Amino acid sequence: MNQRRVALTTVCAALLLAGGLTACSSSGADGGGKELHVLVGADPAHADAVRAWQAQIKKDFKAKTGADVVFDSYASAGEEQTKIQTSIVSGTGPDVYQLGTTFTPVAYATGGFRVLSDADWKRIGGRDKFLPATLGMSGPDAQHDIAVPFAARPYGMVYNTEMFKAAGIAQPPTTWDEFVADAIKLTKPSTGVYGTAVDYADPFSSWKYIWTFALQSGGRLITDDLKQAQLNSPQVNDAIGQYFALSTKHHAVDPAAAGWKSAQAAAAFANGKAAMLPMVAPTVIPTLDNSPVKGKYKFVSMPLVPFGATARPENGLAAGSIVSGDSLAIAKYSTHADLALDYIALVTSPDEQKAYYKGFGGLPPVTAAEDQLASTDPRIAGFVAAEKASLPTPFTGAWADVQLGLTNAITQTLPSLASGKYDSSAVSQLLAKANQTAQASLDRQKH
Amino acid sequence: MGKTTAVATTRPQPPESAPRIPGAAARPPRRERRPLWLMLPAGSLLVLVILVPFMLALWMSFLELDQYTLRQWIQAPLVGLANYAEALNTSGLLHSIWASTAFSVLTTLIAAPLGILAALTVNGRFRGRGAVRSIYLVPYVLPSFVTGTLWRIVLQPAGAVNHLLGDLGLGGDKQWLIGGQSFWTLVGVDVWASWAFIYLMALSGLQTISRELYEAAALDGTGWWQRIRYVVLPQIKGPLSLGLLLATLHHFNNFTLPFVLFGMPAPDAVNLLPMNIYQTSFQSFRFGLGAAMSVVTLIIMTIPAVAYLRSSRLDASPQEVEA
Repeated sequence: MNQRRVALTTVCAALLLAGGLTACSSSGADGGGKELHVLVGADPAHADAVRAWQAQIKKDFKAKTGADVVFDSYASAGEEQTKIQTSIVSGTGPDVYQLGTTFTPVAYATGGFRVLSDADWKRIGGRDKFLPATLGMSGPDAQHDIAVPFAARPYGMVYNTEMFKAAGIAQPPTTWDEFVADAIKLTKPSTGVYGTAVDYADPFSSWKYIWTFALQSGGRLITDDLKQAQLNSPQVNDAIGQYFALSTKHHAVDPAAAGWKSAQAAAAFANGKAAMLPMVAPTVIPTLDNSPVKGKYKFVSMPLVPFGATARPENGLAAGSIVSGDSLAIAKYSTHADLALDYIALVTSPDEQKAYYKGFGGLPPVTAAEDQLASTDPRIAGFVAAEKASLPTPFTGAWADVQLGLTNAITQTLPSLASGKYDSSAVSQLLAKANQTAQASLDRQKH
Repeated sequence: MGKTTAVATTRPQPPESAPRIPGAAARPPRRERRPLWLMLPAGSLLVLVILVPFMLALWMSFLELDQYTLRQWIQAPLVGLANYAEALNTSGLLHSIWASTAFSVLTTLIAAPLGILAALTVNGRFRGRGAVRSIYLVPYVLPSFVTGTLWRIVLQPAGAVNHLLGDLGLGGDKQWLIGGQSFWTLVGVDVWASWAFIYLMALSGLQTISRELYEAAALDGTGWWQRIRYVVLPQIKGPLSLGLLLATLHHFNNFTLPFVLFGMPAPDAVNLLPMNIYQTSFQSFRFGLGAAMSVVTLIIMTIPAVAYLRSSRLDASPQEVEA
């Protein structure tokens, strides 16, 4: 009797557990094989625009293929990565992922995404419908692309035309020395106005400055063969020194900027408290158009000549903007690869690209759409130039450690920046440690 | 007699069962006759929810599990104790354990008197007591994410706190979210968010103290502090100890608050354990190393946790405590 009861309870418990597990695993099923699951970033700032855009895409996709699109969203980069990691391990999840460009090499390293064949590219509309520069982060080489550019967010500089005119500066700077000279000239601490705003404490911005300065002066973060980390090179050390010198030496930045994220830097420019704002994407336009500087600003590429020079050295690169934005990649486990390709073809068609730009401000990486937009909206001409000249970051699975190490070195140096000092030996130590971690990460590369 | 009733209600004996030994009725039920099978559903869930993931984490800690091996993680190469060596030598784990311990103990120590004092203010009856009690709970019921976002905005260089300090002539140019200062910022914000938990536990203890005890103390001519020291604190020791333990553990495991306040990579001073392990596992993709860090932490933290549980007797049965 007792044994029978034990057995019955065991069976019940097992059934309950199995039921629960089945319920969990079935939540990722696609219900009939005619649903395409797409993972996109949540955009609470444009909630209505997202809803409208997704409804339109669902309608157009249904008309084109007869299948339905289901959008899943992630709220942060962390959630995106966790979703990718769990999907890759379990072999179930969304069919199409919207990936940030700097994350694409890591995604490639997992081996969890479909390498696009010639036939795949043809179905999407051809590789040559995209601006060549925007394909820089699609794969390690043209034969091993996993990601299709979807929206570009190139980085440029915005300057206050009225302040420039008042100070008698005719042209925006094209070298970093000119940038410093202009910034000093435009700084008037008595009125709280500074030559430039810098978001020193923003982890997404700060490393890009170092990338820009180091590459222009001939340095690299990783050697071109992707084997040696170079974070402890003189160029990278100098780059951080020059970055902080804008505040500590030239006093052209509000001292409070040691604690600024990109929102505070943009606010300083928007309120007329800074004459220049480097390292911004076109997504800043709505903020500026709702501010006192509306109609008084202009976008240009960032200076492309390093500090202390009038021309780039021989091995220096015209690094103004990283290839930045979102790409679309298809999971290897997806059983709807053809539908996924059709979806990518649809959202990268010129009309949908223009609609996306209007709703969200991401520039089209598709040549036809980009040209049309540049001719109708002069504000973005500077960004289009930056996009066309953008350079890819090293395509390696070790990239996350490079970016983290560099950002960490800056984060830990912010207190000395706040006190107006710069300790180059402390920065060297931080960079040496970052380089060690990055090198270990490079040494583990298997693809 | 009690035994006979228990047997009769839980397990009726069939008439054909073996004849009972005289005198056996006086003995407590034998171990194997306790209905332990009733624990089976809960036990199975515990195995599934706690033991299986823990064994997986232990297994992962011996693997070179990263972005390159994640997809075929079962076949990830075994690296022995390499992850443990790295965890102890170069991952900053020991610094993070120290920072987490200092943060959680300090936060509890500061929050405890605040919570007890708050509980004392609403222990007696007065008009509007319900409203005050509700207001006290506001910081506690706010999700950590909201608390973090709120304070991150308030503590910006041009935020409300600096404005206030500036108006008071105390210097409005403080950087709260970078460098070593970030540690004290985190302690302050977490105290703000968590004192109400201590308050709740202390209040639950205060409500059980009978009026007679206060009256007796008053007759003895005790002052306010003596009443707190010799009546209140001994009486609320149980719930308060539990509250302090739970609060410290909660602070130790708090990831959301430092993550939202400081972002990642965080200043060294607030690179707490959950932050460090998260960064290692989910940003650097070193899942094997992250698992080893977790296991080392578990081992290190088990020692004081067991010592504390034993000293506060929270792990003892009621009979043992009474004894």
